[in-house]
Amino acid sequence: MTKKLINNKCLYLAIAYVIFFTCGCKKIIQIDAPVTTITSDQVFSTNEQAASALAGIYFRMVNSNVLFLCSGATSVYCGMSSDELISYDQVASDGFVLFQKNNLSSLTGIVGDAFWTQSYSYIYGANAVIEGLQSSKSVSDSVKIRLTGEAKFIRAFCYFYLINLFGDVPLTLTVDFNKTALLPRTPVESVYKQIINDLIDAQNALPIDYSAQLGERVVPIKWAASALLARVYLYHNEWENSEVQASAVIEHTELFNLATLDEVFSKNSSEAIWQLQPNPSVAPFNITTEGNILIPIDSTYSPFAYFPDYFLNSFEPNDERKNKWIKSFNFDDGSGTTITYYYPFKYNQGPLEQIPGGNITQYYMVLRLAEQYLIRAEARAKQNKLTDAIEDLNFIRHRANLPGLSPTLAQEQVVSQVEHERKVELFVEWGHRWLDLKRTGKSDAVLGPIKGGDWNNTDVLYPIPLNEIRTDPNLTQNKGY
Amino acid sequence: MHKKTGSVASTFRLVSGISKLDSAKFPFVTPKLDKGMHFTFQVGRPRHGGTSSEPKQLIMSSVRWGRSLPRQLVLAMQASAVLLFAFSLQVSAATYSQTVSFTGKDVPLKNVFASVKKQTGFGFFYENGEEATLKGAGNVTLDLKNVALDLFLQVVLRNQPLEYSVEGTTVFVKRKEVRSSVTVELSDSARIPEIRGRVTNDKGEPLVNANVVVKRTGRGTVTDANGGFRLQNVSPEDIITITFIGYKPQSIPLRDRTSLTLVMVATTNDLDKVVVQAYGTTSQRLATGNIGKITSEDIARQPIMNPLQAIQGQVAGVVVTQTNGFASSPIKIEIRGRSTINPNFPSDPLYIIDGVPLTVLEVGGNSNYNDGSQGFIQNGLNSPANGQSPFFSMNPSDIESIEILKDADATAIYGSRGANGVILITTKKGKAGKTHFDLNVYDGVSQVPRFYEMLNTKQYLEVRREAFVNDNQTPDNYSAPDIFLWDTTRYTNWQKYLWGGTGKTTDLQSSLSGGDQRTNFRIGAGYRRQTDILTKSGANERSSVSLNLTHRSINQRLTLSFSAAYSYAVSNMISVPNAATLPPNAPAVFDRQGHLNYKEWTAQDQLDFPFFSLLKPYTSKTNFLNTSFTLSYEILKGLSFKTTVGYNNAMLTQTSLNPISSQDPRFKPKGSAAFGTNNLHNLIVEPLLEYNTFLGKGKLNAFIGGSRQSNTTNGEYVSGTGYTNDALLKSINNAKEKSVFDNYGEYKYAAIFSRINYNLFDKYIINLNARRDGSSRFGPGRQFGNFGSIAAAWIFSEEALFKNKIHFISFGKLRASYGSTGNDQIGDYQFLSQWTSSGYFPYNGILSLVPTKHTDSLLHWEVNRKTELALDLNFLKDRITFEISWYRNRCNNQLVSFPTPNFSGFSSVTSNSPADVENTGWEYILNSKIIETSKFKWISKFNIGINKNKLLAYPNLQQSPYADYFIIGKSLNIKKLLHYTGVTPQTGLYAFSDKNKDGNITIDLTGKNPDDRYFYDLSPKYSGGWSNNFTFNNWELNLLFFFKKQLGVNALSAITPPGGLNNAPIEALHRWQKPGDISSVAKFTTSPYTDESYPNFQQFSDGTYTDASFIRLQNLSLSYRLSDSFTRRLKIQACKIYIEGQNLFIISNYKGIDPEVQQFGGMPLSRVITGGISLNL
Repeated sequence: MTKKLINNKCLYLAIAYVIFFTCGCKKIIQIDAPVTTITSDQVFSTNEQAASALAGIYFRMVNSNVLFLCSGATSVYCGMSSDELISYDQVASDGFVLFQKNNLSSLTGIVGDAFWTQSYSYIYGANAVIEGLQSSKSVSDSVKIRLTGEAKFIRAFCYFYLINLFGDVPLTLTVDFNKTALLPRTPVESVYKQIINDLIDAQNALPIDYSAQLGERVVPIKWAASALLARVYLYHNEWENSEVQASAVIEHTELFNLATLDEVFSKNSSEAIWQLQPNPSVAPFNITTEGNILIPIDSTYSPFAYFPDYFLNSFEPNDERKNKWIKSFNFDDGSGTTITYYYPFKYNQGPLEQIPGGNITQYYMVLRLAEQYLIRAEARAKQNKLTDAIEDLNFIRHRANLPGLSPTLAQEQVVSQVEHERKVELFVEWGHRWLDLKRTGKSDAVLGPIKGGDWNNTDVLYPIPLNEIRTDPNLTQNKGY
Repeated sequence: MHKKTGSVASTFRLVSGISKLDSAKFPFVTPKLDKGMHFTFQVGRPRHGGTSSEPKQLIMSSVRWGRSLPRQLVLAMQASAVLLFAFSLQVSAATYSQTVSFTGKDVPLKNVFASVKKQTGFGFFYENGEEATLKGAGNVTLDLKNVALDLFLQVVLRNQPLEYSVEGTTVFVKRKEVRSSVTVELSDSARIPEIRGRVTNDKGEPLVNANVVVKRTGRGTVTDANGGFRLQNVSPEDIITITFIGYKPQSIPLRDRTSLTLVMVATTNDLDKVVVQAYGTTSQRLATGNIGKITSEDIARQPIMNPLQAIQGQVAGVVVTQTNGFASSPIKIEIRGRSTINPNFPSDPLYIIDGVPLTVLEVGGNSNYNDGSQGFIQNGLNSPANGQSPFFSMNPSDIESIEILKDADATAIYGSRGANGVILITTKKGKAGKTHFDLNVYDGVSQVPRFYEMLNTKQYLEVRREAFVNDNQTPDNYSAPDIFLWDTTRYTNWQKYLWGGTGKTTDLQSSLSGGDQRTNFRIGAGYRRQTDILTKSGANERSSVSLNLTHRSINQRLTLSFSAAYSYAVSNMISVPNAATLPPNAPAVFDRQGHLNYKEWTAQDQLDFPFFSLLKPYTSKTNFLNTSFTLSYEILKGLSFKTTVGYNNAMLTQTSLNPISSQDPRFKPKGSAAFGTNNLHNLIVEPLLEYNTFLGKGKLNAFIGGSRQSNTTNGEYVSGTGYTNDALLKSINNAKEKSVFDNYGEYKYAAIFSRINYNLFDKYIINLNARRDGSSRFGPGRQFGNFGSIAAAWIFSEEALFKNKIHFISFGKLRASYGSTGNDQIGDYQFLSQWTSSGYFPYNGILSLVPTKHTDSLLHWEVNRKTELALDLNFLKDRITFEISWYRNRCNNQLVSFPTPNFSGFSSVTSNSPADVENTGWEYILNSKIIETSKFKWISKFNIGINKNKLLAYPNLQQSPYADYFIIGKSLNIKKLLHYTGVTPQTGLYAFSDKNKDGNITIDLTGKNPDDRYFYDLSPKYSGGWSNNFTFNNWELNLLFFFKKQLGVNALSAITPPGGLNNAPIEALHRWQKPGDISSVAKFTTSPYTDESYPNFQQFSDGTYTDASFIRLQNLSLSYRLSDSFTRRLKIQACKIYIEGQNLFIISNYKGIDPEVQQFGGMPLSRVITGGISLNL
């Protein structure tokens, strides 16, 4: 073999070799789609999977062992911020006592974790559904419409809490982080506009009854959108619109009726407009997070939070709600003296009833009929429809075994009766009291005397978490923080 | 690894023909064809007068002929030479792999044979009786060590009128048959058309691709698979030089020889020893890149479980951190500083074991920069050690060497994965020669060397009472259970309670190795058991076996090698509560019934019960298999084809139990348990085509190769809750509720790569690397990246000036390299938007799907551009070696977990950062044989690496999430801190410098109105090691020091201020008590958050930072080798008795247990002392 031939052969070999490898390359490094996850395209390829994307949001809302936006944080922490609850632990440096003393700072982890981050993560989920369905070619139109409606409802719901807790907030309507990461805060008014639009869209898209969910009231239907819209209009001082929306819910007596006090928070209670269904496989299993945290284990354990006397005293005598929805126990702090503490008992399943896989008796109530009566009463009172307003209030009072109000009350008396009734009906529920004080401008007057030196008029808004401001240089902090 | 090349095809055919001859029948056939040859044998003289102790060069056969010969005759002779050649192969194949050593001057043959007989047990049979046969035989001068018997006899009998054959264990010696008398005479001036030769090592194994160069012309050739070579157009005056990595170079005057067999002797000079590099080997002399090396001896001196620990202090610029005190803990290795701004991905180098990458796909999501990779634990079920190092499964005794590749030249061939450096691990192989059986056993203890000195009960209660007074509070049951409810006379040293145990280590290693010229093997087996210093629990066990086999075909052109290592490791652990700060009078851990004493501890709920973890056992069992198979074939001379197929698999199972007995009975708890599995596969196929030749006057080594890798990592764990009885815990079947979590990652990788190395006169070397990589971790269109490097070295000591004039410099080299490497360590599928089913949990009967992350579809390669300049200087015949290197690594397009505001949906997105990070540094290595006599030797090795880290550029940093964290031009490890000015004598509170003079001390993390603008760089300034090796007769003492200059958190001041329900260091007693007191400790308080100066001091001030530099005696080993006479009597080859110690003492101003354990109360590093014996049979 001559040298040349050898060289040529080598060359050919090498070339063949290189070609073999480069050509194969693209295919070689192709990997299968992930196994434990699926891509957005896959999610929005079938009706069932698209529905799963929404189920994922509800699931996360309710199945948390800690207090998050929709698992009790709004009830408990806002309850402490207002005049409803006292934190037992008075020394925690980054905890509930900061809510009670209105001493939050931008470093208070709970504010960021429980409210801000959770809300926005549901909003992200909703945006992902809206965008995914928009670009999907294989999900049927009817499903697209319904699921988009649900997503918009969720988005509106979360923004409602965000603006009421934080004031101006960044309005994210897409999942594209390139478009959202540097957003400034959007004025509350614009966010309200978005909320209202979303809810109107949701009303048009959602089913009118629970038949699709086999009677379970755990996915929002049209009337949930109306109920939330009634609240939003109320907050926005659009009394007439608010009344219309509340009436639309109340009129559907084939669906909604006031339940007895014992039954209000039961699963699929007749009063429920929208509830969240816990999953008994995941902690806190068959009970609600709120019940798990607020109900003391036994007399050797200190309570998490308790009612101050000034709150307990605001109940009228014989108000059944004080008996049914509030419980007391005696705690011995080791010093030999026992003290009686009162704690919320709307959710009556506590840690000792917690059983993995156990039977669920109560769902987590988000929207209920009683609030609609109170919304309508307030909206009517503001429009000076006093008789109608008093009639609405009496529905609620009669259930609590209280006498009806005098039909001759003046407008501001009716309005203040509504405020009172909201306080004792909706206590430790979704921050109603905290938000009511704020929207009616009574925070300073009511909380100032109770909280003393801890209270500042800027405390009505929670601080924007520091980390958000550090990550987005366009974000500003609320006054007072 | 060197490549095999082959001889020309015609030779091959002949050899095959001959191989059919029955070698037993014709043990030493004298072919008829070789009429007319005149054999002159001679033993070459050493060039330097033969006074040195170096083994002499051996030139074995030489045949001379001339061009005046008839053509037929020449052909015939060629054929006969080939026959002879083949024939010697036959002999080799049939020979016993006995080795013989002999040194002597002018020794009669008789004595030589007697010695051979003694050494091998072989008998000698003389054809005509000893006397008659050996009549006329001359005396010989020999200096041979461990030479195969066959070769030995060839050498001894070359000059003699004798020939031999070996049958069984008998050597037959007879008078040489008288050969035909055609004698060819050549005129001296005649040119020799061709000489042939063969190069082997002292075991008779051919050396492939050895360089054979004619000094006069500078032209040369390389040897083929058989070690054979031919050179044309040489003259008798020529000197030829043979070089081969790892062997002493030889220069031989050709004189009138036309055929040579050269035996190369392994070098004793560090400069020429084999250094493993990417896809091949090199030596310190010829390397163009920066490669640090740890040998098996370095590893053997340290009684460690994880081989990566052996790197500490031995290689400049490499920082090894064991992330916690558990034996299986992850080990973080950082080479030349922090190159990423990203705290979320580990920055591990690429690990390669015998050519097979050990890649862990980070699918578990718990790994980060500070804690390193979680290793084999990737299912998300965490362990008390926070992961498990893959190398926990690797037996250090199986390792021949660990090479650390640092600069672009060394790493660029690994392209995309070389950015963080590469660590090559080469396992031990068998060597031709006598079969060895090695046994090594050691046993030892480990203990915590130091404890924090804490307050005793009396002092503690005094502190507490004073704190209440300071706070104007009256203590009561609720706020002070320690004063009112607990026994105030009780005292427990909690550190001793937990860490006071003595760990025991037993290590047993054995191996059998040996082989002949064609087949080598090594079988190793090891067992190690090591218990933790924890008094309550914890043990680690590892059993391992390994096998290495190499086989060459008869014609030597085909080589197969196979290596496999399998290990089974078990680790039992419990999480360790932070013991040091528990109140000294806290109640007993267990109550009278033997249950955990929740009741007393948690009275008032002021204190969490910390000891629940004592009853929560965790066990991991790991199977690890690493195999590698290499086939190489010499297609043509100089051209060989090689394919490596490697596979490794790790299977790890975990059991983590949470029994009812470990929980607070008040909650009426149920038991829970989690059972995890992790499964990692790596498969790699790498074909390689390599060409070695002389191009012009230089040697060219070039190869082109391809790589296909596929990895999968999957893990799952089942967690069960609702157990009603602890006895049922070990089975998931008994759980009331079960949930399953799983992870899966797949990674594919393809590359073509090439290296061209051109070496001119061993003086000028250039080296080019190129690689094109494709990774499945990037989206379509962005998968491929190109990487490469260029490097050059100038060995200026080879220049005439140095050779002739400057003798004290024995070696000098300047080298430079520049190149780029990449990184894709971001986990899989990051470019895809993904949803997970978050378990299989349904909501209202519908499966739930949850989006998992932001997606950046534009992800692409991270690039690290590395520049290096280095100077190597050896003085006084290499007694002092000095190496200085300067490097600059610039890393950009970094793959980071880029922070995004939570309101965008997630807190981060995996993306390319615009940051440009630079690491520059100097590394110095100074090795010296300070004293070198036959009895006493002192070798000292010193290395130091100085690294400077800098954020070079960041476009629009102020508008980025990093605005508050980084500063352009400063290190990535900076901290902005308040400047602590002391305790105010009037108030007893910590005071700080008011930088902006606004009257307030403000910490505004968003950067407005700040006082915390004092910058501190927490990167280590430098670190290094110093080892000293003393040998005196049979004694050997080795000391390894490791040192580091750094700032650190003062462990004592980093704990909660004294006064609360926690113990404090004894230093707390120097506190402020009344106005006017000058002290370093603020007044005691029970609630440190009431005044912000406490948290400011602790978290945000420089008062807690202190010099944490140290010098640690990392390792000491002392061994005694039993004298030869003694071992001979015991019929063993060698025996060594030794003691070894790890972490023996530390010199530091740092207050606390250990400047490397800055977290107060964390489990400290233990001190290990072992003693053992090693035997070679």
